[in-house]
Amino acid sequence: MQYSQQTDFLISRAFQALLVHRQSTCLLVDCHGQLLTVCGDCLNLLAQPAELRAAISRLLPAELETPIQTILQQAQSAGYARGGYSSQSADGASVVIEAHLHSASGSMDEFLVLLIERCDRIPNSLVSATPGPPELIEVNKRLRAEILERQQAEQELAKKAEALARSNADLEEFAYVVSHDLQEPLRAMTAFSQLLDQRYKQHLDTSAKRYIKHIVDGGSRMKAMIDGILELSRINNAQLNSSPTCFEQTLDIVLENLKLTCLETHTTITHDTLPTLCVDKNHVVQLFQNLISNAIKFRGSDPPHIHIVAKQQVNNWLFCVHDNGIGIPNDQQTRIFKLFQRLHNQQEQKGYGIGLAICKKIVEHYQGSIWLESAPAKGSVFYFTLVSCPKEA
Amino acid sequence: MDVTILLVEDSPTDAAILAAAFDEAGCRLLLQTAHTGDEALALLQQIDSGPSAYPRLILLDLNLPGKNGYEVLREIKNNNLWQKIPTIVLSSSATPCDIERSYQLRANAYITKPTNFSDYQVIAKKIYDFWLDTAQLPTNPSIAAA
Repeated sequence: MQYSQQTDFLISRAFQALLVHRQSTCLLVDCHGQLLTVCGDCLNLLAQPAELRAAISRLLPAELETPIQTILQQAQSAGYARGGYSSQSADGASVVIEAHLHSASGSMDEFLVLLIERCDRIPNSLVSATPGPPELIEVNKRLRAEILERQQAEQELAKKAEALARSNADLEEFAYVVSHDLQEPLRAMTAFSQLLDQRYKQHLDTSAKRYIKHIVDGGSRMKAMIDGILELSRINNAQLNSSPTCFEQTLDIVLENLKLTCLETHTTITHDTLPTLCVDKNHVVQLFQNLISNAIKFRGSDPPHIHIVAKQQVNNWLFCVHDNGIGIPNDQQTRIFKLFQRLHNQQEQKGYGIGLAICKKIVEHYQGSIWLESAPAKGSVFYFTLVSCPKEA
Repeated sequence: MDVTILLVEDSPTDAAILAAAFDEAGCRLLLQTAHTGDEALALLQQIDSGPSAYPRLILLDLNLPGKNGYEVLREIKNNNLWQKIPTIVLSSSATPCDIERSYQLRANAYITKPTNFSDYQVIAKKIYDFWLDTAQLPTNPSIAAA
């Protein structure tokens, strides 16, 4: 049978039938002895009206007060307690009292299930019910405290996971807003400046034209940055195609994309054998393309030579991208992976400080890391690790 | 008579850029603008019962106040008369899922709004040349119904 609200209803009906059959009263009680719920009162023990949150000691027959309190207290420290009580009254019925402690789950606090069942004779095992040796109770107490502590830690972790999911959702929302709303004013600024330049060419002097160029340049830089943010936010959200990706074929795509730049700069790119891994192909293209473009962009006086190596390690694959470029000083090496961080001014090098931030995000998406070894005039080696099929790992 | 294009666009600046782009590209047409999806649908309904002709082309933004572009697209493509009008989505978004969804709802084309005016001009010219000059379109429904 599939679970549904209908199932809930049926279970509840069956439970009620059981309470009637066993002549039992079942109550849920909080840790202060206050009534939370009446599951059933077939023994008619409760004084009416049985208000919720009332102390059960006031609601139950006076003669049962002491035995019930004892059982509840024992259950609170040991998790479970059971005892018998023979009524002194005329009908002479006996009851078995049982209590279970239920620990917090979700938003609910701890509560006790109190079962009172009528019986003809109290079982022998309960006649001289003693709480057990004191050291056992002590151990029980300690264990309970430990369990509680662990549960709290788990709850804390669940809360953090939830917060993380929320912040990811916020980022998605942000990316959507960026992609739509922020581009409209940017477009207005850029397009109308260009239109002004185009339509009123004859009426504008050189400095007016230069100002317009500054506006348009600023606009296209901002556009590149917005696109970068979008690309960055899409890495974790994209529907990924993690079918096996041949890195050699993927590198060929990158080389094709960069063909013109390579020709212009006399760049040679070589590689050892590269593996096939379950990593989204577009991610691999972005990774290689960003790293290779950077190596070409920050080339030294010699024609760039880039060499790519892959090594299988115990838990992952290590990739190394060597170049003979200008290198990066030690103190700048962590900065370069941050968004919009650039080591060169715009006159020296075009760029927006997005490429390596994207590389870092992609690598981290596959539980890998990225770092480099470099020194000025000595070239750089960018290293990154990837775990194939992160979902199965 | 100039052909009529219906532009569904809430941003007056975006509408003005597109109008200027058609203009600069030398395309002679009448650009009718609806600022919300509801306004666009009301306009089409008016044509249903009136004497004027349907627009030859609909350019539709996705991010609209009230009824969004997808809902408008769905209504256009589910209407027996309107569904024949080529409807081109013109959006800021280049997100794959937006593109996917637009074609699922039977958009005739999806174009991402450029930032540069010169790119706008190129797109305006291409839209005009292809959809209004090259492509054979079904007979205007209102004429066909008459």
